[in-house]
Order: sequence, then structure tokens, then C-alpha cells
Amino acid sequence: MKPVPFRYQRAASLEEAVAALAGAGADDDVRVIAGGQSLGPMLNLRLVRPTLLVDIHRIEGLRAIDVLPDRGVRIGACVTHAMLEDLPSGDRLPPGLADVLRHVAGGIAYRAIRCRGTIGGSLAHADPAADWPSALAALGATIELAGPAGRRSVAASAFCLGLFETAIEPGEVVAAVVLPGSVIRRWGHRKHCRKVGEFAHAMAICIDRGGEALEAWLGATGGAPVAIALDRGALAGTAGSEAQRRALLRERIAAALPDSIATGDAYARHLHAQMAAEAVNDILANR
Amino acid sequence: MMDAPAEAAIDLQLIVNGTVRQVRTEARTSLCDLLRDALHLTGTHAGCEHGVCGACTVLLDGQPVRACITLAAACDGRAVTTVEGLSGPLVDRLRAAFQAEHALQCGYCTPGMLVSAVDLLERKPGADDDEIRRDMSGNLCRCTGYVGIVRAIRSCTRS
Ligand SMILES: Cc1cc2nc3c(=O)[nH]c(=O)nc-3n(C[C@H](O)[C@H](O)[C@H](O)COP(=O)(O)OP(=O)(O)OC[C@H]3O[C@@H](n4cnc5c(N)ncnc54)[C@H](O)[C@@H]3O)c2cc1C
Ligand code: FES
Ligand code: FES
Repeated sequence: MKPVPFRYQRAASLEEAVAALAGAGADDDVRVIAGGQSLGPMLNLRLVRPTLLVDIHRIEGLRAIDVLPDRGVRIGACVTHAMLEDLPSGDRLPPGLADVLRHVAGGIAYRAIRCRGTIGGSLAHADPAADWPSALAALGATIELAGPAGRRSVAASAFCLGLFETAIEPGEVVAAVVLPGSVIRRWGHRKHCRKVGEFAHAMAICIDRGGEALEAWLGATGGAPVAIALDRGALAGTAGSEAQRRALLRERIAAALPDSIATGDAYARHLHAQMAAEAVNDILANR
Repeated sequence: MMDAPAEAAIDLQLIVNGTVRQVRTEARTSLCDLLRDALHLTGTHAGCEHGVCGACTVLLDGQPVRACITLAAACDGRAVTTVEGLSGPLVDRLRAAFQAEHALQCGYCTPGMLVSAVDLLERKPGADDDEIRRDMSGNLCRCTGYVGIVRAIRSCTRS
């Protein structure tokens, strides 16, 4: 349970981190470390054997939460889950958005993990059962990356590509998550864990910004987050009948799920449908 | 065994339980191993060593962290409080309550339980049983069945 020996470098700025990645020798297996809450276990189990770690956790600029002119918010990559769980109420952030961020962050693992684990690290790690990938896709977030060729942005919905696979190119660092400020009228987020704080077995989030389409996403499906096609009209057609609504969700989910679950795992299918139904019910309950 | 590359040795300064400590260690050393092996503070226990059991929980600048998956190097210049350094009226009450409610048997989980409970009571002084169970879910106990632990923490809430 001890990592292999490696060198350690603490970066003082994002530029320094990018330069450290670019400057690593050809024989180096260099890794960024943020909170270490996913990398730490992998190091201890020797699932990864880096020669150099570049620590970005203390870079001031990556730990800021800035409200933007459109009342959206820019969250630095090293903002911890606990910082988001503790977002103060008040007029700084649009209320719906702050509620969703607090709720999702507060449901991740345990407080001691949340005090170190970061939003950027979660995204970069891209565990299929992690909470941020599906939540940020549903919230319409954009991920800012910094690399040797400069900065670029990727939509959160296109960021996670599969199991531990993302749009990050070699040498790039996640710099921030940018969330749009348009009003969230109603929202629902549900996940199923066998034990509190454990990684979820099924997860669903639904965001209603008042338009015809709802943003509905599933997480913990074994790969990238999965979008469910759902709109107000279809839901209205099932008004008053819980059974009809479930049937509609089951059909839409079946169409969206990866083949392995859609054709194989009936239990997983049931859990996903149940979480989606509960998330949609939260919306209809108009909170 | 391969020797660690020379560059892997690093010098750190930490404030541990209020005392400044200078240590030279390897970059790969966890905060947990540093506390136990270099500073002989063996109250911090290593259980799973991958973040799941909570036995190694300590306070870093006042916030609970898993010492097993926090690199010692990442704590340079910061303040660490272990179970040996917990003090104050709340901690006294909590210790007495753990004894009164039989909240420990073998005691392996207890240091992490106390650190997590202090953090919980400071953040949520009025926590009810559900909140206590949810917030303490990251600390596993093999012996007690949790009832005594929840009762002990509950008796220290402001209700
Ligand atoms: C017991 C336990 C339970 C957990 N339960 C959950 C859960 O229920 N839900 C959940 O979502 N998560 C859970 N987690 C994971 C936790 O949320 C981690 O915080 C998160 O996955 C990784 O964030 P980190 O900052 O610790 O990243 P690290 O562990 O430091 O890094 C993870 C990976 O991302 C890379 N990386 C980190 N930051 C960046 C960056 N800015 N740019 C590029 N690459 C980067 C690293 O190189 C590494 O490969 C759990 C962890 C533990 C130990
Ligand atoms: S030893 Fe650190 S959480 Fe188990
Ligand atoms: S008292 Fe033995 S593990 Fe909790």
C-alpha cells in the first residue's frame, strides 16, 4: 500500500504547471495531482507509477469562484467539493444554480474527501460513477483547458468520452468550469448508493430552465454521461399518471442507454429508470 | 528494492498539534505515514489506506482530511491536528460521552471518529440522528454497531 518513489513539484501558477508538464523528460511519467482523492488511492495501490507529480492544489487562481456579468459563474479547477457544498446563500449566484451546486457537491463521498477533492480533478479523472460529469453536462457547463498551445474550451456534454477518458490532450490542464447564468426554474438530482457516500450505481439529473426541452442526464452508466431526450410536451402528455410517466421515461432511457445495459442488465436499467423518475418527480413537485 | 531517486527526498515544515516540526522525507510519503513513522504520533490509524474507512482522519488547517491519501509534501507549511492534539471543552465532552455510551471497543476507529465528530459538531451543532449518521458514514467501525457512537455524538449536540 505504498506508492512507487517519485519526484514532486508544487506549481505556483497555471503557467508553471503547464510548463512543468511540457518540460518533463521523455522517460518521465508525469501526472498532475490536485486533491489526490482519486490519484491517492491509485498511487497507494500502484495502479499508477508516475516518476513526477505536479501539484496544482494551491494555485490561487484555480481556487476562485467568480460571478460573471451574465450571473453565470466561473469555478476554478481546484475549488473543492466542500467549498461548493458551503456556497453562501445570498445574491452572488442565481439561487437555482447555487442550490444545485451545493446539493451535488454535498452528496459526494464524505466531508474529509470533499475537503480535498476538486471539481477539476473529478472531471479529469472521469470516473463513470462520479457526480460532476453528468451534473455539469446537464447544467450546460463549459470546461476551460490550458495547454502548451494556449487555452481552449470544451462543452461539458462533450468532455467525458468514456471510462476514465476525456477530451484533455497531453500536456493540458483543466483550468476552470464555466456555468451559464440563465435562470434554473426547477431541478431534480437523484442517485442510488448502497451505502451513503459510496460511488453511485445509478444517477439522474434534470434541469428545467423554462424552455420546451428539459436537460435530463444519467450518470453511473459505466461510460460517459448519457443524455435523455425529454421535453415538456411529452411529460405533459403523462400528466396525472405516474405509471404513464414511468413508461415514457423507461422508453426514453432505453433509447439512450449503452447497449450493455439496454440489452443486458435489467437491474441497472431499473435503477436508472427509478432515479430518472424521481428526478423528474422533483421537478414536477415544483420545488 | 529500487532506491528512491535522490530528488525524491524533500524537506517539510509542518505545525503539528501546535508545534513546528521540520522533517525530511520522501515525496511519496503520505501524511499518515509521516505522522506515525517520523513523528511517532501513532494515534492516527491506518486502516484501508485508500480513503474508505476514515481511521486516518486528521484536521488540516482545521478541516478534516484523509491522512492516507494526502501527501505529506502537500501539507508543507500547514497546521495538522491529530487525535493527540484535539482539545477544548467540546472534545472533553465528546471523550466522556464516548466512554459513557460505550462508543468504542477495540478503539481502532476511535481517533478518526473523534476527529470527524468534532468537525461535524462544529459545522452542525444541532445535528439530529439522521444527520449524524449521514455525516459519520465515512468512518467505519468493525466493533460497536454504531449505536453508541451516534448516541455519544448526539449527547454533545446543542438541542
Ligand atoms: C472513498 C472515496 C469515495 C468517493 N466517492 C465519490 C463519489 O461518490 N462521487 C464522486 O464524484 N467522487 C467520489 N470520489 C472521488 C473524489 O470526488 C475526488 O475528489 C475526485 O474524483 C478527484 O479529484 P481530486 O482533486 O482529488 O483529483 P486527483 O486525485 O488529484 O486527480 C485525479 C486525476 O485527475 C488528474 N487531474 C486532477 N486535476 C486536474 C486538472 N485540473 N487538470 C488535468 N488533470 C487533472 C490527475 O492527474 C489524476 O489523473 C471518492 C473518492 C474516495 C476516496
Ligand atoms: S486509512 Fe485512510 S481512510 Fe482508511
Ligand atoms: S471500536 Fe473497533 S473498529 Fe470501532
